[in-house]
Amino acid sequence: MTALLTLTRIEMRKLTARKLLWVELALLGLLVLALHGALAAALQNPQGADLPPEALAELRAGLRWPQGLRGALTFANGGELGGLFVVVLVAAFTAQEYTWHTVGLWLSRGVSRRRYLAAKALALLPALAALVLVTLLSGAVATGLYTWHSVGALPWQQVAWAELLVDGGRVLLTLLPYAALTLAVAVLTRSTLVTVGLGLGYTLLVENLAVEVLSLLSPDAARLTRYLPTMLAKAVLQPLQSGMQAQVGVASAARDALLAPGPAALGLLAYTAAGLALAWWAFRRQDIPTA
Amino acid sequence: MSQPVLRLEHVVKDYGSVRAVDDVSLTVWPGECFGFLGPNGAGKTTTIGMVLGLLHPTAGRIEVLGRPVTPRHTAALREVGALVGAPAFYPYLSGRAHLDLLRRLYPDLPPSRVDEVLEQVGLPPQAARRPVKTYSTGMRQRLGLAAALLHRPRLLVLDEPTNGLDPIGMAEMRALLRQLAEGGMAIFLSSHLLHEVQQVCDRVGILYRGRLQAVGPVDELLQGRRDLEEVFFDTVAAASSARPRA
Ligand SMILES: Nc1ncnc2c1ncn2[C@@H]1O[C@H](COP(=O)(O)OP(=O)(O)OP(=O)(O)O)[C@@H](O)[C@H]1O
Ligand SMILES: [Mg+2]
Repeated sequence: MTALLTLTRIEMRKLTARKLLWVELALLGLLVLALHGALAAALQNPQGADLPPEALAELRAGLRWPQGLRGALTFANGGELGGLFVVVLVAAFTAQEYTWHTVGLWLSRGVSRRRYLAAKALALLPALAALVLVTLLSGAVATGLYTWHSVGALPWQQVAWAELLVDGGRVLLTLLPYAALTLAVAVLTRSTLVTVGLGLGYTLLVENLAVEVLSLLSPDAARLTRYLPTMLAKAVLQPLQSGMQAQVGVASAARDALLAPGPAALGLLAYTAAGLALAWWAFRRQDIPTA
Repeated sequence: MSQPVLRLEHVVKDYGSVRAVDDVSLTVWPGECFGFLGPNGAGKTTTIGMVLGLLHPTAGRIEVLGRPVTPRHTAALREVGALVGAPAFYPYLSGRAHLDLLRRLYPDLPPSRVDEVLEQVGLPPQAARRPVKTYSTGMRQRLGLAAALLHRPRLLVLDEPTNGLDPIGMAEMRALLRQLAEGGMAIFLSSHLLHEVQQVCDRVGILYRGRLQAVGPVDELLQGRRDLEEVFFDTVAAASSARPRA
């Protein structure tokens, strides 16, 4: 047990000593700010999109505290921005150990493969939590400014802080399958480039394309999409979004087929477990070249 | 006699249809330097990969200090230090940061041990504070040796350790290895520098196409021949005429 703790701390040090983690956190924070800025600007001056006034009002409320705080969190969603950041982080953190040949540095000292992999997975958890936290903080600043600008005060009392914590947990949950599956791909391919390519390709392209195509095929096919990680993530995060926000960007047939949050959470955990199991299965059988 | 530090029994490694290591058995004793020789592709690095629990042996048994070593059983490797080829590091960490990280694996080692090994391998403190990506080949090699010695292992496994060292570094390495062996450490040294091996090692084994063709104390193998180089050429020539290349 202490050995696993020591190793986890070593892995965390390896992760925090890298620029990549901090660059990702800064980038995510800035992106969340910028996206909110763009949204606010668009809602200020909604030319082109002829939205009914009620919808516009609802969207604006969605950018203000307290609603906006929850909405901002969804940017870190595994199926969206969060997933991209996680793919890059996990790929670099895991696959690069192969390209640098540093896996053997630990294994040849009697660190067991089981502990090595477990420590890596554990060390990633705080990093994922940091991604969520930065999104929350950055979103709080952005929506806070917007609220201040439009209402002239911040409604602190209306914010359900405990609920916000639970929401953060939900978002973290949506990141887990992406992290675990990337870990598996990294171990299987032993290449940072291939892992990033496959991971981003899937997250950016394949998953969304699958949702679109299956939704067009038939109602039965559309129902299948609810088992994709991105749709499970959407289902878990449904309570975080205002009715209007939730309608943006998803084929309606697929949206109607979303699972309830509870089963969806189990689904996300199942993907995570599958990813970890696959990584472990491959890792224990691997020959690790010495140079 | 005391317990062997390293024992290989009928070890085999196949890569697909290629037999890289073919029925190798050998023993290394405490305080002994064992020279592991052989032409390119003979199977030296592959054998060392199995000794370090990185490669799965196809058959046979490996023991370190009487305990089995495989990729699934690695506890005995805590007593082993290794420097294999061009040593691997995290480019963004300093040499000292590497040693500090590795030291955490051994709770009994005091922080001062890091300075001790840095001095032992001749890596100056200012250099040790720089990121490894700024190191020369020889500096990396020295850091690799420091990492291998950090936990005072009872078996030191070296695969071409003098790669990239300057003549002074090589002489220092030679002296250090002799000193470590005299202190009771067992050394398993693979190298193409036969002259070095002859000066440092007590016994040698010569591997050819995965098979151990000759093994014994250096003076016994010499048998009137000029030097280890001659032994090497004779052994390889005899083995290749007996089993011509396919
Ligand atoms: N991952 C691998 N896949 C397939 N064959 C391999 C692999 N690694 C090594 N081999 C083969 O195994 C044989 C032994 O290689 P090894 O690296 O052990 O030789 P070596 O004695 O260390 O040679 P050198 O002196 O050049 O370092 C060679 O024929 C090599 O081509
Ligand atoms: Mg080799």
